[in-house]
Amino acid sequence: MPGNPQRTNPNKSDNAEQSVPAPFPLDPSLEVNLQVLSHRIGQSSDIVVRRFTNESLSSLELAFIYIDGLVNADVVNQGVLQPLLETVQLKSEFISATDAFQMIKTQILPIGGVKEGNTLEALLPMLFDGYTLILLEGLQVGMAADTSGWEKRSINEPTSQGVIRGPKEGFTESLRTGTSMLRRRLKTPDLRIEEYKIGQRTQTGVALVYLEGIASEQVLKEIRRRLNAINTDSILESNYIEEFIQDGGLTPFPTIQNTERPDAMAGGILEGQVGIIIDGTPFALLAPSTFFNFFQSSEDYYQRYDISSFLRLIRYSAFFVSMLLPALYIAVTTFHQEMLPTTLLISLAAQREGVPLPALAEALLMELTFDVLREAGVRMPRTIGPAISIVGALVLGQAAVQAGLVSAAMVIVVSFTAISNFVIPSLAIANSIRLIRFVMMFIAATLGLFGIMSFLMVLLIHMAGLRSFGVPYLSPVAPMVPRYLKDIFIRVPLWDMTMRPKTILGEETRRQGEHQQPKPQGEDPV
Amino acid sequence: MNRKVGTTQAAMLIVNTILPTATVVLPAIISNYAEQDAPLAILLSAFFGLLIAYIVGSAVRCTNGAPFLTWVGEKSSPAIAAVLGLFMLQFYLDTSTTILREFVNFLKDNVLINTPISILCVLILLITIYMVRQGLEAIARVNSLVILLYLLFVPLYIFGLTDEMNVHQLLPMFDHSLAELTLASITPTTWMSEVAVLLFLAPYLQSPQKARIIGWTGLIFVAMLMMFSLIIALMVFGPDLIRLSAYPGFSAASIVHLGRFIEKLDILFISYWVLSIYVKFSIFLFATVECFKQTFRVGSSRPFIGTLGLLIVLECLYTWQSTEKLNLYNKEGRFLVFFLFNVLVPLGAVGLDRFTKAKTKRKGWGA
Repeated sequence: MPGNPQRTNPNKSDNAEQSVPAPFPLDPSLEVNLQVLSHRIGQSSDIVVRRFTNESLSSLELAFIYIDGLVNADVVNQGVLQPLLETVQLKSEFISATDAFQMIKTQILPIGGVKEGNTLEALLPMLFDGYTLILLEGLQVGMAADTSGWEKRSINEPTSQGVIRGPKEGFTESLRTGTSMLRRRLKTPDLRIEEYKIGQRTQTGVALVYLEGIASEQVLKEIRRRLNAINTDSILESNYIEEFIQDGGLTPFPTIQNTERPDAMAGGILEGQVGIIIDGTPFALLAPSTFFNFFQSSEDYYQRYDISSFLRLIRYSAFFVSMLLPALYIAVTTFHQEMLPTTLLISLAAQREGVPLPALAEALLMELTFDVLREAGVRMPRTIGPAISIVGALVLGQAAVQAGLVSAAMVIVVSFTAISNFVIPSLAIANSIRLIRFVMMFIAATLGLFGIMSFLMVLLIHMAGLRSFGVPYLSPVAPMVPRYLKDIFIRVPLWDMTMRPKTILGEETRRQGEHQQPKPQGEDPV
Repeated sequence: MNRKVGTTQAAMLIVNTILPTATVVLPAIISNYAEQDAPLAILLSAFFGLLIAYIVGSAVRCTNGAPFLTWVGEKSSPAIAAVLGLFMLQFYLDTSTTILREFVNFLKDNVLINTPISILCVLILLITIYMVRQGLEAIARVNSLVILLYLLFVPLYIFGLTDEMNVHQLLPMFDHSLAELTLASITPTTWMSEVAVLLFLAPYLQSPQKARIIGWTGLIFVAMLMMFSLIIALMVFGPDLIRLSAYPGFSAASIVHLGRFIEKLDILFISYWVLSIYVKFSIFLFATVECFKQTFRVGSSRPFIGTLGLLIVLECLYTWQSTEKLNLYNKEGRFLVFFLFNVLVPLGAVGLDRFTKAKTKRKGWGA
């Protein structure tokens, strides 16, 4: 990853358990260097060490080290080996090792990214990033040429955040592909990309992406502080970072968004959020995130504002249905039958007549069955997974009703709850609701509607106290800032969203010009 | 966790400091004296309430947002502040207890008839302690969301009762003497005087100088909502039936219906009321804890919240076992106690401020 300032975690050497070896300054003897290197990285079959001795000048002895599979073989052959073998000056008996090193670095290698390092610890991370190390006899400094090139997944449509209208490309596992996708969308000199290496053993690349002047300095400072404080041996996916840096460690609510859509990330960055792209996963993070961010979808901005607003309201309704419907059903059928109209009450009573289980057990049985089917659908082979889960749900539901284990109304309640859960665009908050739903069900069975309201109060106060990197989780609703409600429950036309919300930013900034509502030319304003 | 609360949020806090128990307890008491003239009694009590808010606001302006008892200690002597603190702590403990008891009594009468009171008390207290631990800012935010729900419930209440309302039930107006109206307005005035909680919320206000505005705005909203609730209940039931009902507002809600498919919505309104009374109880528990903190000059009140909560639960379970006794206290005893702590104490604080300022001025002249 040439050309980028890379920050390494200052805490990583603190952990004695990781037994980080002392830095080894390169020795003038190439033989010694290769021995230490071999000792440090072992005799792995993918590590290629090639020594190259100039017959006519015994003093100039070189060695190349690279990892097969991490390098582009063509670049190694044509960009490193061939120029070195064909350069006549290197065979001169008058050339010293120091001059040869400078010549190779500045004149011979036709590669953009060439770095130096004088300890093995400085060179090894580059080796693992796909660089080819070049060590010379008699020198205490080594060179690393960027020859990286490994097999990557091509850019595909996001699997978990699809849209009908809008860009169809998603992030891949490559960090550089991710940053390039953002660069293509945000062609502004204000775009900043800071890179970190986190995880002592994985040395995972983590890029902090933001717009200078738009992202809050306070938020950035806090994110940097938390990233630097991570002391772990591995970062294999963005959730590792998320759990280490998110506010409210024990909260069931996510305070950081994840997305595999570069357009969603670009949109967030333009609103003042900070993007975090992690090497090795297509899921990038966006922070700070408020509760209402999780109900916004990229598609809201790619279709008319009226239909987007309608869909937003549907999503919020689905949120409450998904969280409360089984609990309300239990509470009403167990404690508050008087709430139901008589005809509905008679119908429900008739359905439940032969059911031996109390409403809670009935609901739990169905909910757990659905969760088992859902989990099985994910694990099963792709071709049969969805079919099995649908058939399983239908067969089990139908069979359970016919066997008299559950009532038909309960099957409807559980199905509608499950479908509502999928309406929520963010999987993170949808999963939180799945857990909360079970707690709600137990409380509803014990204390009825009073219990539900009490638990809602607990959730509300918990959310009211939550912050995402200093931003109140329920903003801009609580605390209420009416002029920032233009993109919360509904979405107003784009020409009416002139300012960026201050809730995420340090300061309110202008997004676009005013009075852009399209009108026929020369129309009388009156 | 305790950050500053804005002026609007604070005004909304005042609304839910007074309203949740007022809507439950007051209609029956006011109607007893004033019958169809009950709205006039509310107007009268609102007038007295605004006066009290003026006094409390002035006291907060004197303290300029400093902790009240600390300020009293500085202006008079630490011993006086400690004694006053002990009395006020007793007052806030009692007030919190009566709120909890009214909450529990209501649930016991209407929702959870078979659930033991002790379990309800402990559960409510635990939730409220959690709320207090989250801080006043979080409570204020939740409160603003709860108040937003009025936008849903008020229209539902009005439209659901349109067919049942009879304007003639409000007639004849001005049928009661001023003495009767004053008598009817005494109890609601004690509720309005709860605006004095601002004395202990002041350190957490963004603009303590606007305490009067906060109090007035809150009280005007309370008066409007009380009038609204009482007038509708009067138009639905008439003055005679209201007197017989323990909770006329919720009795009216029980006959709310939209067509023939949505009916008997009292449980919905009760659920909403549960949210608002949680806010009320948390505000008073917060004030109690704050009073304790200032009286005993402890840095953090966190370890003591549980102990104060235990005292409240014990008092709730063993002092106010009898609902009649509580009703009698609300009707007759409450006025004196509230007048003492919610009116005389802030008035005394204003007087103390004037006195010390005058003294300083005299010294200044002398010099």
